[in-house]
Amino acid sequence: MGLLSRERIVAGDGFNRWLIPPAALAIHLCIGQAYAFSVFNLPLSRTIGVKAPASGDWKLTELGWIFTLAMVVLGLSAAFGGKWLERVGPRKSGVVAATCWGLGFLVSAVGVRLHVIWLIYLGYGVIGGCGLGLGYITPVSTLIKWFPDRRGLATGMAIMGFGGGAMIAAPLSEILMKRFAGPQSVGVAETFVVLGCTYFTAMLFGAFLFRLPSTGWKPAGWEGPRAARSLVTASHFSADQAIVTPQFYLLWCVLFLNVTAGIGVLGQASPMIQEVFKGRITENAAAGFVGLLSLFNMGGRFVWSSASDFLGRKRTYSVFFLLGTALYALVPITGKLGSVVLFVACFAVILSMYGGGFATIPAYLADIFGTQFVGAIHGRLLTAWSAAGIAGPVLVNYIRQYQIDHGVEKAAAYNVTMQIVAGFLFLGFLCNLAITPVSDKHKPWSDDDGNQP
Amino acid sequence: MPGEQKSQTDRIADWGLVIVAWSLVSLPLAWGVLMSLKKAAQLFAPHQ
Repeated sequence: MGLLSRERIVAGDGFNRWLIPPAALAIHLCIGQAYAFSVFNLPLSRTIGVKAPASGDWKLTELGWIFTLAMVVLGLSAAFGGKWLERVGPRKSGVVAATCWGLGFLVSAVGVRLHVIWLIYLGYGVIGGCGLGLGYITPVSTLIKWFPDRRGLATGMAIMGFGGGAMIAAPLSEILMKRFAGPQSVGVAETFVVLGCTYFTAMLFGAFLFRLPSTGWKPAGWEGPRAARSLVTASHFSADQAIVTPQFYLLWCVLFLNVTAGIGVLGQASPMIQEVFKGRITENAAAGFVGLLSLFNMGGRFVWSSASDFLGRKRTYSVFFLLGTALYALVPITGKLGSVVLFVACFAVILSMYGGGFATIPAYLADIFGTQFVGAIHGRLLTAWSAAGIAGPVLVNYIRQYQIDHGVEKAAAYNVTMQIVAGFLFLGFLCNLAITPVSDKHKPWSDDDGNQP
Repeated sequence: MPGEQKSQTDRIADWGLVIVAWSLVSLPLAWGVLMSLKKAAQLFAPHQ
């Protein structure tokens, strides 16, 4: 039995399952750095000029592809790595994720030092992206197996860490860049090295803390899914079985629409509040607005996901979509009224539900398809996040630019965007409404069949 | 041994390990949250 083998990490009797959430958090707090990558964009645009961009320095448009590439590879690696994760277990998967994430930073540091951008695309984008994808699904699958009675709470704890990771990384990166910057350097390469080594170590800690419950293990006093909860199955569907059901595609649309609605706006939050409340909101205050949204994004992941254990997943998503539709439709009115408080409040709630949507989806998948292969199914579903990561910002920017080019004032240009996004959320509501238990014609997985899952 | 009840000492050690693990992840998270709160406070700063 190798050190990283699945069999080695089956927990003995009496193992305290509350050791698993910190292991999950250790991983998600590290990979959550991805949402703070933008702090490097301006410094990277002056690696030659140092004080200001000089000839030969990278443009922001070139640098923007680093994050986009990482998000695309996240989705692909989660989709392809999910089945492998279920087969090899979370320790091996966690170690591979840690290695990819850490190595991605180190390769990128070389790219910065040699001023070769494709090395950064390869490092952070591809290698780091693999670390992101594997790192994202590894803890979630393990948590659901240990907390089948409180799936929303469990996934909320892990995925809250992803939001929290950006909160740690943004100020930490700025402190490190300041420490390492000098007359000849913007300090990015050195910062990448420190972050890569730190994240590798922290993620290894998490990976080695993971255990798997033994076959048939249940929390004390829990008898299994209640029959009254009709959407919650007692069976298990493999990833290959799940993707031929309409439920998978409806859930894909649910995640895609929820993320598209939030992600495009998240990227525009700072310029948007400054343009809507011109002269009243400074750049610093706008940065404060973005900080506040991050807090609600993170908090929503835990709060909404935990609440879904009581409300039910379908009802929780109905709230996201209906309340979200109403709030997006309300945003232009808050601008017209000149109410910063209402504007901020609308977005705070919207962002909490954006985070909540991410955190609740694995529990929803576990309810529909069972817990045994949820890691693999979740991995495939995350392609919706990658798609939304491209579609969301493109859509929001395109609609806004189209209106400005046709003479609409900047502040008003967001209004139509908000209404279109509200429409997306209503579409999401309809997709969610259509979700039913998997029909009997889809046979669940059974190891009696001798099939590989 | 399988099926055997854990002793009081073992249970205390277990929970001690849980507390240590939670503290290790909570401290950086709390720092990050504080930094975000500090940044968010700029939105409500009177001079803006």
